Amino acid sequence: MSSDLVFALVLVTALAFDFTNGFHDTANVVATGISTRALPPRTAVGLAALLNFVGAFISLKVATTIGTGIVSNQAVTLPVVFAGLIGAIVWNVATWRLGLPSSSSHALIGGLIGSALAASGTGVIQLDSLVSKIIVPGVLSPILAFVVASLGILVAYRLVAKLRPGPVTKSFRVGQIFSGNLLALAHGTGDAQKTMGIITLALIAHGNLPSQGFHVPFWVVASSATVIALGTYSGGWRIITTVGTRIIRMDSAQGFSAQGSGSAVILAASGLGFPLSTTHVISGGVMGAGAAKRLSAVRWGVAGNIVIAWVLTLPAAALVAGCLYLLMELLGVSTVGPVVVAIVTLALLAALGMRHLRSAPPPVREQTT
Amino acid sequence: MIGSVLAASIVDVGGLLELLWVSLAAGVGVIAVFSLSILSWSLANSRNSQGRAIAAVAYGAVCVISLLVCAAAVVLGLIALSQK
Repeated sequence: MSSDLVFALVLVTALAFDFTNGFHDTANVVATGISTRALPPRTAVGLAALLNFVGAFISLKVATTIGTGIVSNQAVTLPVVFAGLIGAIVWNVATWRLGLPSSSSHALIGGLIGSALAASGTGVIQLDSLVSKIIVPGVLSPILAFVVASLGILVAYRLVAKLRPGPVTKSFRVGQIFSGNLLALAHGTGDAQKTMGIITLALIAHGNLPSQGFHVPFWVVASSATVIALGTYSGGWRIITTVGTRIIRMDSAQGFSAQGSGSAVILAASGLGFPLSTTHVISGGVMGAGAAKRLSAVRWGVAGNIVIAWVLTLPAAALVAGCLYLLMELLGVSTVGPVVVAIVTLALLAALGMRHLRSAPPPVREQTT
Repeated sequence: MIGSVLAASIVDVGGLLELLWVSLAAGVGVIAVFSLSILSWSLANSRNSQGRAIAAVAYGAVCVISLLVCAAAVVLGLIALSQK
């Protein structure tokens, strides 16, 4: 009975994380398309949500990496998964509130590591897999997106250099509609799988699935896809204000190049089972497309913040999740601890949400040109 | 020496190299081919207005082929991804 309650809490929390992931990352997907006016905001966000949903059905390799490549199976219990998820959500919301760009994926992975460490010690961390599948690709991927976008925009500028700017801009805007959609698809493919991996881990810990082999049930895929799409759709409206004012000014060729390079890196990584951070890859692509034209076009201070947030996210989420697990252990890890942590987290999030609603700026008017 | 051997045994070098070349080929390739389609479309229009029909058709064909190559790259990539 108590295990069923904790399982229900884990399931709801995992889907809540999925929602915040879509909500948090919408700006990454739609930013360049909106800033170059390739698509009106409403259409861009709606399409991104739809393609996030479709993308979640394409591959399950990242879900398998999350489920089998971070901590060993015997360390995975429902309270460990629950504390990991809450740690990730708390870090995500805190960084969102502070305006720091952070990765939902790294927060989730850090959370799981922190709670497993608190529960079972260092022996359960799969260090080899963590380094080879997550840390090294995570460090290299933004650099790769930067290089791909830089080379791409240099080739593009060389090819269209002698043409009249008007038709070229219009053509690249059309290209951006497709590259933006591909990016949304890649985001759904990469990020929804992380929640699928976590829910499948919870199903194994609860005894609903065998611990041998790693099979993601269809209902898990469908629910993760639906929730990330809903998060994307609802998140966009709040983040567009930030996107409209803080993103670097780019032309449509740069937008196309940033989106194209981001999609290529994320889709290639998803196929290889590397759970990359969408935030970092797209940031790398945007900086590459900007820097290739003019180094000073990139706000290097913002780039520095992204790097600092990248370094902090995994250990900080691990610390929060580890502390939460220890707190749950003090209160009773089977039922009371998770319930108290859930209630306190929910209350804090509600308070934060109410405060944010009160201080939210008026909605952004849709651009029609 | 021992450190580099240990690093090579932990790091998935093959996977990273595949990520590197697939991302470069797909990313730069699609951006370049799409830019080529814009160039050829523009040249087709200008040749057409100059009354050079054969050149216009040739550039138009390059434009169509470029767009088809872009679409094929995306579709093939998604098919390959879904079958992994």
